[in-house]
Amino acid sequence: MKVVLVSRYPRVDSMGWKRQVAEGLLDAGIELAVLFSRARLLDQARAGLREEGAAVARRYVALRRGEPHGASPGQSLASWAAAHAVPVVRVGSLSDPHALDALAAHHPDLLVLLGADIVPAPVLATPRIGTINAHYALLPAFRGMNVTEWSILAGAPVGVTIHLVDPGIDTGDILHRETIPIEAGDTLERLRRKHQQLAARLLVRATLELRDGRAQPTSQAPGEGRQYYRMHPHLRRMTERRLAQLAARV
Amino acid sequence: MRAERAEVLGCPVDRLTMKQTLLRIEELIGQRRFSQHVAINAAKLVAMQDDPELRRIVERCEVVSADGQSIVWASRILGDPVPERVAGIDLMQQLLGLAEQRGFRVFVLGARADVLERARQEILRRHPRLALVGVHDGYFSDEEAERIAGEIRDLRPDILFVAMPSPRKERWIARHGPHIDVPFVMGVGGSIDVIAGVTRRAPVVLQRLGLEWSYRLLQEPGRLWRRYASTNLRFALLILRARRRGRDGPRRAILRPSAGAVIAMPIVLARDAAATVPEGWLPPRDGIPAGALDEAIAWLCRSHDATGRRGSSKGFSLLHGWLPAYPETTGYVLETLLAYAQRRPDEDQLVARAREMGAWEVSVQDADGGIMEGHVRTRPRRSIVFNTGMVLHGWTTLVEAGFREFEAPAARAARFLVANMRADGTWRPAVEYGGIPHTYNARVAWAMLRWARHADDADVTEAARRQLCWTVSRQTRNGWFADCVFKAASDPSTHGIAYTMRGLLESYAIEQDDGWLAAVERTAEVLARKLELSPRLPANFDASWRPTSRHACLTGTAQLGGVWLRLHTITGDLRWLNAGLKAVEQAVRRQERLGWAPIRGALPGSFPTWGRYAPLQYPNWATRFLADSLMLYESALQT
Repeated sequence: MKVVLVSRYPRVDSMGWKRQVAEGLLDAGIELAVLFSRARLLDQARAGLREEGAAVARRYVALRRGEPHGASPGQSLASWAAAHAVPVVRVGSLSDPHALDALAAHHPDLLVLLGADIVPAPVLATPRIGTINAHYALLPAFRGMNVTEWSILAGAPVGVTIHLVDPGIDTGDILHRETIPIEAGDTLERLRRKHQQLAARLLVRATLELRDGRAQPTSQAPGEGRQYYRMHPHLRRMTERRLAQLAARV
Repeated sequence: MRAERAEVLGCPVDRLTMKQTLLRIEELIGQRRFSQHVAINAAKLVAMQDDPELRRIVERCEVVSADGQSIVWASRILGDPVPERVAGIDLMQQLLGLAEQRGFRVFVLGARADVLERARQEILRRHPRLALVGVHDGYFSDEEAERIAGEIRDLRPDILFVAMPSPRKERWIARHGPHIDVPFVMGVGGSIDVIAGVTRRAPVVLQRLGLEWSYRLLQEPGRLWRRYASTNLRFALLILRARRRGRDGPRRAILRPSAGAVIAMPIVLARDAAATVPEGWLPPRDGIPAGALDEAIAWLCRSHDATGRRGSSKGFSLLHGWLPAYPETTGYVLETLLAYAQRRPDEDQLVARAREMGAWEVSVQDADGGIMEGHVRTRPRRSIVFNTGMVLHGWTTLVEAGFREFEAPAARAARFLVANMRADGTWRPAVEYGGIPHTYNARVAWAMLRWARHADDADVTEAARRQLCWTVSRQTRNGWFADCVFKAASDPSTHGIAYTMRGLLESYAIEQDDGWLAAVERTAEVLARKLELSPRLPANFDASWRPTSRHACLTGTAQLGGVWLRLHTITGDLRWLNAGLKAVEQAVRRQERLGWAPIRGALPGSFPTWGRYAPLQYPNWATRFLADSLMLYESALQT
């Protein structure tokens, strides 16, 4: 079984959850490679600014100074791969023909997406078994972006869904779904870390099940659930208030 | 003969070469009826735009030729080409030769006596056998004019050259021409000076390049530079505009940029050019700048003042200044003023304004109960469905606010709409904009349902429902609307799509027909994705929802913000609130902040301002929809 982990680079792996996935798979005796897609610096800067505004600059400075960022800073996936002699492939964008060739050269059985961009269909067609992804909400109800927040705002349970990736957006067959209970003192940031921990665990489990032929994918019915987009700050504030109420209740 | 005429910026020009022109003139002389020639250059063409008298004179002329090379170019650019330049001076020289050959009798009237004498000698030197039956200088009084006309008649010339300045020349010909029995009269302006050797013609190279004017400018720079600068600029702008609109477009407004606009325009253009750069780089700024709504309302009031408090001006154009009063949008601008007055009770003058606008709409209502197409000066005048519906909205709102005097005109408008509707839910082409059906008339159906509810009129309700069912039938499975355009063979704009959606949505709110709501949500879903995909919602989409323009139609963005916010209120779906807040913010960021009163607080038609939708213009409906959506935004944040 050969697995290729697909991630954007350099993205801050503040919680080390990507490394946990890698370690979990390596411990289970799975052969690994890492594929980093690295957009041009200009595009990275543009995307970063658009997503996070000035915060991205602050984060970058903190990282360069080696300041601890989050609870358990840990190594990045790149340095971990170097330390464990896991082959690393760096490509510009996943849509490059070069990326496809580099990937095919590894003859992967499975791709595991660890915070990757939208994956083009030819890449999805490369692995023998398929591609899996961790989605930070319960499918099929909440597809798209900021879905943890949207779930909270809608009063729905939050959790992680591991699913096979098809060319649609979050529409592939579901492998695992697990809810995360909201606990006293939870904030969006804390919930995000819980999602990462759970995602790391479930990705390893789903990979092993796929290897052993024990996986039971269930398909999503078309028309179930809705597509969500980046949340407006006003709605984010509503979500935070709602979460504070929920967390105070437990 | 008419079929052989091209049209350049509304002016007829014969599609004749020099040779064909001479044959035509010979033929006219043979007919022995009064006929006239006029040569068109850029200056005359520009002057014709403002001078209907001159236009009529030119249209009556039997032979119209392209005096300047620029006219030939303009005719080519505008797609209705004339074959070649037939300069007045060249034509005169050729005609003198022809007259000598054929024995035509020639008379020359005009110019200074000494210049004329030299010209006479020169003409006779070149054409010794010419029957030059007489000459007379152009310096005579009105009393003498009669006598001179008689003298010319007695000499029975076949060709009369008139070398007087415009418009004296035209006036003289108009008055005496038909009575002097001359079969061919031609105005020759400065040609006599050239023949006499007083002035020289430009080198042939400059003539070919269309730069003959520049040679004259060099000879008399002090007198001519101002005229040439303004004429040439206006000529170029007229061509650009005509080209953009196509030949079937409406008659052009008069180009009259004010001093303020001359200062504001470069600032606006430079700012928009600079603003397009960081668009993809910055996170969308959330929130609404303080005073945005108040500024928008203040501008709408100024658009009302600009017409002498009749209707609201169609908008402010950086090229033309304030545009004429616009019946269609005044109908809903007044609703926005009333809505704002309810929020800010200290603003009662707005209620008075809204009532004045409503009364003005009554004064422009046609005998058939409908409201005219275009602005108040558009001709021919005819009632069309959409404008009638928009004014019905305004009157219904006024009636609901307690102003009963608008009941009767509203009832007549509703009858117009019912009477002209066909069985399939579309209207007769004669009362449709462009003669084609439009799904955005759903906004008219909404007005009809509102009125029907007030007047308890089942016929009006039934007609409105028919329209809405037709509109839904025109929606494709991917949520796109066919027939959602102003002109056939174009792509729907966010403006028209939002009209359609809002009409269906509010009609659902009144009649609770679930099919209408489902149709709106189908389109809302797609456009919510489009709103996320780029920092600027594009203006137009084809049938597969591919954007077909780069500019944003800002009124459409503002309107869609309103549609999403209303969808949220009606369905409770927070995704619509999310999209609505973002769209309104995207539009309000382009609200004009420059401190110049005719534009401050207004929303431009496009971003960047030079985009294809109402370029360099601040249409009143854009600001109206911005204000409307800002009020919905305020309400949404309060709940």
